[in-house]
Order: sequence, then C-alpha cells, then structure tokens
Amino acid sequence: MAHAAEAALHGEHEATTTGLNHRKMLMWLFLGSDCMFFGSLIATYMVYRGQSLTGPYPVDIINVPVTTISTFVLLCSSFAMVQALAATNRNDQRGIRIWLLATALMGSVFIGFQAYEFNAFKNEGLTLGQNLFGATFFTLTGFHGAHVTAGIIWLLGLFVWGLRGRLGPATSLDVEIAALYWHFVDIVWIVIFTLLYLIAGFDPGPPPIG
Amino acid sequence: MTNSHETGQGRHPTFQQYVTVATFLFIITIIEFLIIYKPLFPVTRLDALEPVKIPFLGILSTIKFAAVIMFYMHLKFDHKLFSVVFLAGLALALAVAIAVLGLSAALGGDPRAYAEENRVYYDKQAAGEARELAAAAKELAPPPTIIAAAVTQPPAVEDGKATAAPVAPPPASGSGNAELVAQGQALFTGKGACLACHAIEGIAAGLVGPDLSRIGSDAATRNTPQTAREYIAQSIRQPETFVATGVERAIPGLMTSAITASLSDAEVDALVEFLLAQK
Repeated sequence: MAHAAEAALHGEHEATTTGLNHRKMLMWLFLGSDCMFFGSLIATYMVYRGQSLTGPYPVDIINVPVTTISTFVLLCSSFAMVQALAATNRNDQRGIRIWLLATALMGSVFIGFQAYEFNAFKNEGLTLGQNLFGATFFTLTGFHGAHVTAGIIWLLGLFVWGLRGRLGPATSLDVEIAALYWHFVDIVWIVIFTLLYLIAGFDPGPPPIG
Repeated sequence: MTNSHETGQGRHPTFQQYVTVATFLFIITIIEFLIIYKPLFPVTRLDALEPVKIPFLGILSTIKFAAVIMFYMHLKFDHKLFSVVFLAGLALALAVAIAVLGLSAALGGDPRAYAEENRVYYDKQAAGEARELAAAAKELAPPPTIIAAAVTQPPAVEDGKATAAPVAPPPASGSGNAELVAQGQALFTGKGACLACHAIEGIAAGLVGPDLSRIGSDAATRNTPQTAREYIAQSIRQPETFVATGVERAIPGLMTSAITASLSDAEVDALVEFLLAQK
C-alpha cells in the first residue's frame, strides 16, 4: 500500500488491477455518482412542476434569452478547456496558461450571470423558501453553481502551477482530470438549461379566479 | 512521461476537429433557442413544431450531451472501462428520475394530497389530537351506505320506452339528513383531509383556509343568487371559480380543484350536507 503511494509520488507507475490510472478512474466514478446527484435534483424539480401554491411562477421571471447567452459562454469555456489540455500535451507553456485562464474566466462570467439571475429573482420575490418552484430551482441551480465555482478554483490552482512551469506532458493527467470535471459541469448545465428554461421556463401559475 | 496506456488514452482529435465539435454545439443551441422563443415565430415560423417541441428538444440536448462526452471528454477514444463506469451512473440516475416521475404520476400528479392523507405526526401532541378526532368521527359515522340508491329512482318503463322518474331535488338549504351529515364529517376529517386547512369548532383546527364553523348560515350570503348548497358544492369541486372577499383566510389560488379531484360525487354530497349543518 505504502509502496504504491510512494511510487505515485515519485512519478513512477503504480500497478493497478485494471491497468488504468487510479486518479482518472476515480474521476469517472465520481462523475457517474454526480449524475445520480443531479438526476435526483432534476427529477425533484420535474415532480413539483406546477405544484407551487403561490407565485412567482416560471413564466413571470425566467429569462431565456439571457440564459442562452450564459449557456454559450459555458460551451465556449469547454472548448477552451480542451485547448488547455491540448497545449499541455504539446508542451506549449504559453498556451497552457492562456487557455486555463480563459476557461476560468469564462466560468466566472457564467457565475456572474447566475448571480445576476439569482438576485433578479430575489427582487421579484422568488426565494428558496417562497414556493416549490423557488425551492427546487435554487437547490438545483445553486448546487450546479457551486460545482462550477469549485471548478474555477481548481483551474486557477492549475494556472498557478502553470506559471511555475509544473504543467507539461509529464503531468498532463492533472489537467486531463480537471478537464473531465469541467466538461461534466457543462453537460449538466445542458440538461438543466433544456429542462428548466427551454421546456419548463414558460410554466404558468394556476388559472385566474372568476 | 505519463504512460498513455496507463491513462487509457486513444488518439487525440485535431484542433480542427475540436473546432468542428464546438461549432456543432453552438448551432444546435441556436436551433433549440429558436424553437422555443415565441417572439421570433413570425420570422422563423418554427411554431409549427409546437406539438413535437419537447421530444425534439430532448433529442437535441442528448446529442449535445453525447458530443461533449465522446469528444471533449475523450470517452470515445479511451479505454472502455471508463465508459462503463460513467454510463452505469448515468443509467442509475435515469432510472431514479423515471421512478420518481412515475410515482408522482401514479399519485395523480398531486403528491400534496397523498402526503396529507398519509401524514406521520412527529409531534406527539398533534398525533394524539389527530387520533382523537379520527376516533370521534368514526363513532358518529355509521357504516357507509350507497348514496346513489337513496337519491335516485330507477327509470319508469312506459310503453316500451324508459322515462326517468322525477327525482325530488335536494332542498336548497339542507334538511339535515343525519346519516349524510355523519358521513360528511368522517370525510372532512378523513379522506377529504379538509381539516388540514379548515377549522370547525370542536371538530377541526386547520389554520390555512377559512373557518367553516358557521358556513351553514353564511353560505347563502356569499355569492348571491347562488344557494347555500350550490355555493358549498362549487367551493369543493371548483374552488378557483369564486373566492369570497372579506372572509378571513380566504386566499385565491390556495385551494385548487386538484385537491378534491379524488372525491366521488356521493362523497361531495355528504360533505355538502355536513357543512350545511354547521350553523
């Protein structure tokens, strides 16, 4: 056990039962479990659709055009992440730094859009405790935003490593694993955007009285 | 050098291929936006897609999902075990989502009514009170009778033709049929779960909706010229149609017809009789 850990520390290749790297396998396993995490939150949102006793309702406040823009930004950030990994593999130090920073910045822009949206909703009277829509919406998108934020911190950490010249073909796995996490966060957003905004974004409240 | 065999990496797509994937993702997102954005319909005329909008959007986003996983996350080119591990998680997630949605659909799309009916009291005092109410209601209610037989009469057959015999209309202000009243009370505190929101002196203590202790006397005045019976029946069946003003806790939108959808007509009749007796 200790021998394997030591070997990994010194850059030697520890033996694995599958022949595949432990850390990469860990990330894929984690992403599989994260699917279940987001799957249950999304299913909860869908179950409670139209069940809110009081407003505001999605049709009142969901802004599809603005969120489409933030979706584009996140898609772009995935492209930037891919370029960062490619730069790492070909030992393009300048490229590594530029693309990692670009990914983190675009992720931050996305978070900026989310913060703006959450604040706008709050001003319209939608809070976590206001109604079922608020509860399910903020829990789901809040957790997604937390995932993105964790990813941004991770990327900035990698960027600092890149500044110190510690990223290159020999350590490309570090960038690759961060990339896997980042792309996953993007595809979860694809699902959330389609369901919460494109499909359920126009959900009305109950029909008017009288 | 990180052993590519160890990381299970296959060949890498080229820069050009990555750009192609990115462009592809962009275009699909634009198409999705156009499909749903109504203000653009006069120009795009994509409103023709309205009936198949949802499956179409689902398919498009699945394509985007797959493209990112296979190319950006490299799963297409990597060792198959990574795919197995991730897709297993994804399959479980889908199964859970389908199960949850199926359960909600099986409950008539209204989990709230089911939850009220089967609520577990964590507060001992509330549990005790609920048990007392249920016991009192059971004592008063005789075994349920078939209301339909009591109210309707079989159609009289004359000259080979069936004509409906005249059915005496129920009195507008309630005659206090004791059996129905008792049944209504049992429903009020039991299956109907009305006590969850409404209060009646000595019977229920709900604080969400209006107090119904005097509804028997007040009903006729609420929405003239509607009779008391009509008003109460409509308030149960289609509460959104009319909500009285100036009545404490009469809040529009709170009580919906979905809440009472599971009650049969006979049960609603019993509830109406019970409520008419609350004077």
